[in-house]
Amino acid sequence: MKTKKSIRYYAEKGQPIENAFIIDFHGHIGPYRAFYNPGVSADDLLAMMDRMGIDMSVQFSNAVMSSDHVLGNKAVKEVSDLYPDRIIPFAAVNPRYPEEASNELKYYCGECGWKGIKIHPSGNNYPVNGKLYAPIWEFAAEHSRVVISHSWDEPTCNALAFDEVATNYPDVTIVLAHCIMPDFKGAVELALKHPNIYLELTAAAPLNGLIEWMTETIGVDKIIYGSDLGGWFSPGHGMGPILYADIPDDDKCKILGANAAKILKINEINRN
Amino acid sequence: MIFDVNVEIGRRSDREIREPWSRDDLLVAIRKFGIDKVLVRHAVSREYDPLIGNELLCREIDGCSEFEGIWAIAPHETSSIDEPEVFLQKMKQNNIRSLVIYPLTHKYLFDVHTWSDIFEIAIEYNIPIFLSLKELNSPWSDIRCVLTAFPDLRLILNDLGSWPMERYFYPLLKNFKELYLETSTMRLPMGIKNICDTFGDHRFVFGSGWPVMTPASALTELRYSAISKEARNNIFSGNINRILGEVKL
Repeated sequence: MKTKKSIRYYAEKGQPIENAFIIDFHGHIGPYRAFYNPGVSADDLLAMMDRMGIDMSVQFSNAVMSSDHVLGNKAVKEVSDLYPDRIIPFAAVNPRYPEEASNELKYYCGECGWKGIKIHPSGNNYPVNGKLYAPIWEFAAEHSRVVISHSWDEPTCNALAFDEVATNYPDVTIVLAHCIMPDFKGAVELALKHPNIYLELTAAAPLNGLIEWMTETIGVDKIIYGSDLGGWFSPGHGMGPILYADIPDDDKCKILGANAAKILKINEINRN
Repeated sequence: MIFDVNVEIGRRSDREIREPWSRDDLLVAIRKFGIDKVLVRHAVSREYDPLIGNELLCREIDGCSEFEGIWAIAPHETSSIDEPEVFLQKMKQNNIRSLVIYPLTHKYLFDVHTWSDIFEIAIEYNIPIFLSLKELNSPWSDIRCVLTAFPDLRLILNDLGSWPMERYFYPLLKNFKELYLETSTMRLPMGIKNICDTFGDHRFVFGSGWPVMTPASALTELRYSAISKEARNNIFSGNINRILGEVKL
């Protein structure tokens, strides 16, 4: 905790949240073909983070789900090299290019030391428990890398598929982006069953009462803030429900950043 | 002042467990979030019958100074709704200044043939019409066709969708000066700012999407948008107050 004022105090004033160390766990670098999204340069991204008081942002490429994963990882590296203390780059890989995916992971997570991997079973239309993903899960297990996966209640990435993956790779920390939306019950059951499953709130948080229900059901230690920051959404829409949630500020701090910092092994930094 | 234009009370057929729904739930919510006034519609108008829902709405919000009602309307030839002249008198008697339509739910085409009587009256009396994008199968082409025929219709679009739709609505905002957007699902990075810069902040009205969505999302998105304080205040309340103030009933 940075100061003694309440988190809601800052939210109501529209000021940067100064009393929590905040990591946005879900961000996209680069354009997305279906959106008109001017003004999301690296500097714009940092300006959005500063406006809300976001200390660090996990970023991966938009290209992983819709285009060229090699091109996308290069774009992420350019931004993370500019702002190494603010951007946490993840390597995004498409299992349909097995050899390239392996090389991308060796370079970015190996040589460059990136802390995590992003996969998008829906965008690549390949099941998260399919055999082409196995080398990626094995890499993550061998090198202790966090994996954030798109999760949705659809065949490639539903609760059943993640149950199998979490069972087969118990040493891999798996962050379920979107909490298997809208199968939130399935998501919390997985989080209760598997110590290595965490739930990330992008796009789900605005649903009325979801955060309070999740914290009552599974506690706060496995819930992580994310917003699709940059290439898709701005951070406020997803962060607001945490800032105003009927839970103690210490719990909000865990969701906003402390839980992410723990699994990423990041110490709190002071951007001032 | 914060004036929320996207709020619905009443029992809903697809309610999530513990989801708030009643007038008293809404009062608790607006006090928690510091919302001063709400333009409230009734789920029964949408899910059951417009006339019954409208009457229920008036009874339920009676005596609440924070609430102003929106009535649902449908073509009177094929619904329980009164003929336009009678309907207008009842609106005036009940201090109703805005209308909502549900073409898909109520099984009407959203076209000039079906709605022309209602749209002509809405234009004559400056009555804004609220329309959720969920209520159209081909929303953008339908809206373009209707506004081409009725360019002075004050149409306020609710629930713009989960994913950014700028490429659809930018040409419409450019060509139809009385088209407005409600903010509950606006979350494209810099999205509100870009629209304010391009078309003016007067094209927005603030909405939360309660009870399905928490007002926290739309409030936070707008509070942290990189726009002027004046623009923010206009979106929070100034624009809708002006629109409703210009209704001639």
